[in-house]
Amino acid sequence: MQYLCVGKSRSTLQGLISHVVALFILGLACTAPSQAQITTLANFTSTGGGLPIGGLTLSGGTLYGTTVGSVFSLPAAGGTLTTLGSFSQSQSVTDVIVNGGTIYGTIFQGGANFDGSIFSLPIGGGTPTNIATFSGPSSVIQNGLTLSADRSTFYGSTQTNAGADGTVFSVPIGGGTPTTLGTLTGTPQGDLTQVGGTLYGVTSTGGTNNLGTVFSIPVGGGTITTLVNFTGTNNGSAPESGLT
Amino acid sequence: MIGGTLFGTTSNGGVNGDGTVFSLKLSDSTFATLASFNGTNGAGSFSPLTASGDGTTLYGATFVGGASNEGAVFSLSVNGGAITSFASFNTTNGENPRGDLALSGDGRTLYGTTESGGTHSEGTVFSVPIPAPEPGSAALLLTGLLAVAARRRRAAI
Repeated sequence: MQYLCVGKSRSTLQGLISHVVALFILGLACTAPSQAQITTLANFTSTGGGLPIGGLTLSGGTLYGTTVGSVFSLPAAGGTLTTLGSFSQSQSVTDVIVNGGTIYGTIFQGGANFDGSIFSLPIGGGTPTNIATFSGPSSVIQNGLTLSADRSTFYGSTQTNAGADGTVFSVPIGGGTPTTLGTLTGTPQGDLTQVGGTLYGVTSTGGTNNLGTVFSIPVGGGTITTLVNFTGTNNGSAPESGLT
Repeated sequence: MIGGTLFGTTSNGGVNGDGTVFSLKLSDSTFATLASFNGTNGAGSFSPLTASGDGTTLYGATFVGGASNEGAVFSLSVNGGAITSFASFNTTNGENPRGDLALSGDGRTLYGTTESGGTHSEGTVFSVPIPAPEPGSAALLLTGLLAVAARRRRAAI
């Protein structure tokens, strides 16, 4: 213990400690990011509606989403999951849009012909109302809606029953007959993105290599422009979600 | 869209066949592959990307891959680089995340759903905190370097 009382040795010990502290801090900085803890806020059941596919929308501290047969809400801080509305003989596989006091979304097999439809639902819950229905060969809706900046119009895409090709459409927010803006040669996936007067989207098939594309189309309809042809190894293939 | 550029993912392809993250600059249609998944950091993304509030970071989820091959949550700089998988699903806490992630107003938490897994194997709603941003590590690194420099300067006197 003598060295603790001797100036030179004391300095050496302090130096050693400072080096250890410095190396510890450096070690912390160089450590790989730790894994974050996933917290389960709700577990779905088959009776209450399960198999959520469409993801979540956060509005005013509340999460909104869909299961195969229902629309639900859940406080983001945690709490009780509430079923706001249920579908009969149909299912939703997309995210929803919350606009004011109304929730909007698409139904995979909604409408009179069990083709696709767009529904609205009071945010407090109730019975989903079909505000637009699709019919014909390209009437399957597995993709979500995009609301225009002025909140007047929904844009989206449909697929054929065979899961190939599809259309880009618009529908007034109040509902009505869908307007076909363009016809795709490839299967559209995910929500569309509006930038100014143009809609952008992806297809998981089609294009030069039949490995998918990124496309654009004027919001008023017209020619679909292929911006990217996916090639597989080089730049990926089969985009399955919309653009951010 | 961030600064005139759109971002997206592919579910397949890329150098490892596990999908990619890409960007598309709208002014001149410049396409870039920012990163490729490799299984460990995720694979097969079906979820759209979510941008951080300051537009510097992309967040997303992969359907499979990660520590248990049941899906993962990841982050990536908008400029590309390494994909950081910071949370993995293991069936108990859900499996196969799909669909949009929601970002909390303070930018610290992501919310999402898993298509299956959980207590009843019918899917879950989950939340996951976003790890401290890189400046935290940078500050630690700077502190460490300053401590070493101070020690050497003291030793030289």
